[in-house]
Amino acid sequence: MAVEMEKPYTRPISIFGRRSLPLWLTWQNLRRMPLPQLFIIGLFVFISIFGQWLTPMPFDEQNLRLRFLPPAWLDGGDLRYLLGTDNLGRDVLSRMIVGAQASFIVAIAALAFGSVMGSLIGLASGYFGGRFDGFVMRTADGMMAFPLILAALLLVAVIGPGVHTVVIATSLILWARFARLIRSEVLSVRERDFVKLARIAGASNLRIMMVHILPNVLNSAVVLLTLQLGFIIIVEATLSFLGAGVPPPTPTWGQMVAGGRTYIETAWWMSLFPGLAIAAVVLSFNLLGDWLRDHLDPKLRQL
Amino acid sequence: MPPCNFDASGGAGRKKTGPTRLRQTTTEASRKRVAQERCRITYIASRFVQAFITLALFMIVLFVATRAAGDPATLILPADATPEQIQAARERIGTDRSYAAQFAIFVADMATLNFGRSIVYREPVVDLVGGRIAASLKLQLASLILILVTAFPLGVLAATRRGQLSDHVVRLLAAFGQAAPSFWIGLVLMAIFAVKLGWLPAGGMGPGGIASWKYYILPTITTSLLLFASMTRLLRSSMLEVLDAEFVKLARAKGVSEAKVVWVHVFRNALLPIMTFMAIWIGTAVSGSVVVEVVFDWPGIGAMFVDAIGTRDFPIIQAIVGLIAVAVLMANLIVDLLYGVVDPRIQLEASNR
Repeated sequence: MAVEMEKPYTRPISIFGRRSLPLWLTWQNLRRMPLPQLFIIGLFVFISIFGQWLTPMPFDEQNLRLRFLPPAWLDGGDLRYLLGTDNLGRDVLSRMIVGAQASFIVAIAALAFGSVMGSLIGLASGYFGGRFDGFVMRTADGMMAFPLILAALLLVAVIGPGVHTVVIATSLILWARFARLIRSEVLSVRERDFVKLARIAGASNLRIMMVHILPNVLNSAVVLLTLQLGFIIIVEATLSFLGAGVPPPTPTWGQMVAGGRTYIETAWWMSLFPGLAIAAVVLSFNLLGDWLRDHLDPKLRQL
Repeated sequence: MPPCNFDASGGAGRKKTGPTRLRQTTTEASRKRVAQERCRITYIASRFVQAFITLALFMIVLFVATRAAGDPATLILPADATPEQIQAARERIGTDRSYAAQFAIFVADMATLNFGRSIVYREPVVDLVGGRIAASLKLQLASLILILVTAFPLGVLAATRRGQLSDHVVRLLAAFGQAAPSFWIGLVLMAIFAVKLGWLPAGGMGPGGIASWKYYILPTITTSLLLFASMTRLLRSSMLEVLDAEFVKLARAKGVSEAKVVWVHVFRNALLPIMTFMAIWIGTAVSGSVVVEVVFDWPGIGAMFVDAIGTRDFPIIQAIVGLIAVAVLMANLIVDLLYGVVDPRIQLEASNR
């Protein structure tokens, strides 16, 4: 039987496609971009990279005479300490600026590991199918069902706290999410004519997967990636809060919220502002992810 | 295994049905029913086997993880113990045996709830953990009720009034609930309602009984927020999808009241993604409760787990992780089986896979 030809395949707008790059940058498209979110994310990235040179005060300078200073606009506030000081007299704003870095590094590293590993596993799983596919998907289900914080804490108990622990713990969940999504996309793409034709033309499995299938599922991966960034930042902050994240003296936002817990009755600013920063960054990533999904891949609406 | 796809044959058979072929169609239908029944049994059995395999894999991982953390004997004894003491402790715990034998004992202990004694408290782990499970379950139950009574109406409201003010408010609330970390929300609520206003207690579980309802309010809200937000968003989007379907237009066209369209035709069909989601989110709910229990000093197993991690109290860690793994597996199994009840198409697809 001859290969049935379907309708001419029109390529969806891909942010990786050669054709779409100029289109992406036109003024009309730019105007429709979610600018507030992009601004906050841009600020977050900028501060994460250059923050340590931008702090108004040295972030670890203790000054016991200036403990528990309230934010500058309240009675007794000091303009040099815009968001107040903590129990050791350290500037809250400066510590927040330096603390952005931990979230950023963990997010980037976990995402790099998790998304690449997960996408490749999902690609192979969907493409080859069969027993291998069944095994991979059951493992992924198991990973996703198990409480992440519990697994991360267990990991901390076994290999000790640190950036690497947080990255491993979050990657463990991330790969499963990516593998599931990419697999389901591959299942439909691999039935398309261009894949059959590539096989007839003698392309190897590896080449079909990497050259013909992968570019067609990358859009979904990017959407998922953006949607997961917020999740990773929350996980990192939660682990820090529980004392299982990046260890002191490196400040992190979750740690700062935890530090203010004891003083919540008097020095609420110690917890409020770092938490607000987490919420703002996560909200921005989530909204950007929603926007990307609606524009690139509306069928992913249920992620 | 027989293929579990009946749509094609069933549909084609019925079209040819005339008066003379009626009897044959009946036998066809009964044969189909038998085959379907067989598929259902295969499906249920395969789910049980899968759950068992997952549990076995998990036990291996837990065993390796706890052994990789170091010899329990050296953890129990003080740092200046003599080699003879260590050897004696090893023999007592059983770590002097081969790994295979140790694993067998480990599994047998887990199965018989024999988790040993806590290193820190020197009491049987079963009593310690057992005494705290109730507190965690109560909190989870309270938050589940809160989620059900808030997320369902609000999700439906947002979907039916798409683009209106109420939709925007609900979406904003949900977006915020998904973005704000729960430990921070808990602290902020505590600072406002317990410290500033003094209306509610800041932590603990109260004296127990109905009198301690005030103690439940803040932890319950904090636990619910994330799940509430995700559920509302998911329900809204899946309602919107179903609202577009042809059968909804048909229902409207034949004059079914709007309330009936929304709650009977659309809502029921929009529930399936919610079930999928619940299966995954049971794990997340446990994670969330760990944080909330720490923030509000709730005497549950989540807070106990965090303490045990800090003191490397491995018997307790093992017991709690094992307990939750089994709970998560069972919950997933139940949801999997419920799918088949809610939508028979799913179990057919699943056993085809």
